[in-house]
Amino acid sequence: MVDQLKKDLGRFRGAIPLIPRGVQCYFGEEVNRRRRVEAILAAIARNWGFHEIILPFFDYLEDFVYGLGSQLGDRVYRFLDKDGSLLALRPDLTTLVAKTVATRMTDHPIPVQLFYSGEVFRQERAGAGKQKEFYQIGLESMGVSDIWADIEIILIAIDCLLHLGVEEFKIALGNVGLFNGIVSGLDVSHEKLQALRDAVDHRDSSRLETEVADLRLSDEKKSFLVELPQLTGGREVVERAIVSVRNPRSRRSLRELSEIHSVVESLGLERFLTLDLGEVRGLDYYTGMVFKIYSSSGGFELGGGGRYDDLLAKFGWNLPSVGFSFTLDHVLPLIGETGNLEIPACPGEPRVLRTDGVASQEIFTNAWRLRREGNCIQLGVRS
Amino acid sequence: MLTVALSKGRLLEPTVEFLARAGIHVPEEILSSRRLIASDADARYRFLLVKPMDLPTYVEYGVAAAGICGRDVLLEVSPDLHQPLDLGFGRCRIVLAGNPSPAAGGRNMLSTTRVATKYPQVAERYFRSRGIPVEVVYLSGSVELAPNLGLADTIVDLVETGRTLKENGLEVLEEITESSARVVVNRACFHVLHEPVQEFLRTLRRALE
Repeated sequence: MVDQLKKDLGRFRGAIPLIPRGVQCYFGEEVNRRRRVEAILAAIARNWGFHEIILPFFDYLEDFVYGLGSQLGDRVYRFLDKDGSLLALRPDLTTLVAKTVATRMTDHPIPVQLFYSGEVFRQERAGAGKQKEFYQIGLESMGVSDIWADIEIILIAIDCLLHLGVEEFKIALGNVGLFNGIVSGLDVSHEKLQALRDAVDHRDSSRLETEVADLRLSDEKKSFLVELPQLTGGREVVERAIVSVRNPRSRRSLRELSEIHSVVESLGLERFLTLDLGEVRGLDYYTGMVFKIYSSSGGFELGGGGRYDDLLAKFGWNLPSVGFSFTLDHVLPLIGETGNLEIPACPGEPRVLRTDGVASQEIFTNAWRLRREGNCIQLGVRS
Repeated sequence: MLTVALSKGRLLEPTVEFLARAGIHVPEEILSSRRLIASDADARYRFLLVKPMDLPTYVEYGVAAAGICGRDVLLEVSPDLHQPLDLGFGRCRIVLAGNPSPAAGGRNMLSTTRVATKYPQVAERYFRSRGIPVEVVYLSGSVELAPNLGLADTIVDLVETGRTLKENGLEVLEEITESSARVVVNRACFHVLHEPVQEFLRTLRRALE
């Protein structure tokens, strides 16, 4: 790093072309590392029954706005097409996968399981782990509303990191249905809701107390909302929460969380999982479970994802979906000598383990074992 | 060992007192000498002493897992951090202040008003929310001088007692918001250092009761 900097400084001869903030170049060994890690993750995705999709770099702005919400919508790089229509550099890949599947892959067998990698562009304040151009590797499973698809997504994330030799990480798992179920009956403005969600997201209990004060909720519910950001840990947080919420949506969310937790536990992977009932943030399109992945060595998110059941309907095909992505630049520093890491072999077409709608713990145990042995396994294709 | 960043300046003394009440003893050496980093006696905490406006940066990058700083700083810097606790001390207000009877200047009444401040983001947002066009003049100190010298029409500044304002012939035109000391926690550390972070928060909560 410093060597290169000295060279760059020494080369200074007055006027030089500027490089915009928030972009990166890679060369030499760094390129090999990136490509290798990408190849490893792609091989894992294939072995879980996912197919690669390559997506356009830009699309119409309006197609991104629904999923990203006004907050991220503001941070899109936009430009005009020749005919005057507004285009955007892709700020997100999930929306593009959703659009492609819903409009052009409607005869594909369900579930549609796709993975992708590539740059996304956002006008962020560069720094603190954020870049304006960054590289995502992710996958989407479309067409399964059942919880087993959620569990699969979490397990793939764990499998990927374990393959890369990363052992020190935590997946913070929440469910936006819990919070939305509590506030959905309230007759409050969008701004008020945003303020509430923001206070939960920042775990700002004093602001939360002010925000809930004028809500038409029982005192018990109010104090539960204030407590929400502190409810993180094992399954006991679900037990704590279930006594305070009665609406079906919130209760279903809690049941889902505890189900995911018990499968992860039965595979002996619970050390990687924290339930986090205060996890309410995410892109606007999330409807169910949401998660973020953190490493213990750095302060930044490695990636994240969740369930988005309404996004595809926006593009004309009502397909419940779930997915996640890694931010490559945050994963790379955690990986030691990638030269020693093996790219998993891809034995070809996946073997299908039937789930018949509901997947039992045995299926996951079985699939996890077979996959660790290097088999290519796909769950639950309807015949 | 949990790394906690503390703000130099007006918050340092009340922070150290509060932590002592909670049973966390910031080592003397960091307070009396030029050392900016030191651990407590039973090596549970490591403290960094940083400039208030820099504190969110240390925590955002995860160099410190947690920190204690004023809400004024958080409003100005807008860091992406958890803010789980209001510690209540270091209370003050962020106000818009000006000269009650400004000398008649030659300025057009519709010209953009100028405000001098250490909090450019806060000032910008405040005027924008009121629909008033503004030119923000950033100063790093002695902001109270600006209106009298004609550098700005008003100031946005932190006020504890209001004495400095009065001595400079200024009065509060409007209160923008309140500030007090807050605990901030890095988002990743909140989960991966779950136990020590929770222990830290529990200890502080107990001292608040």
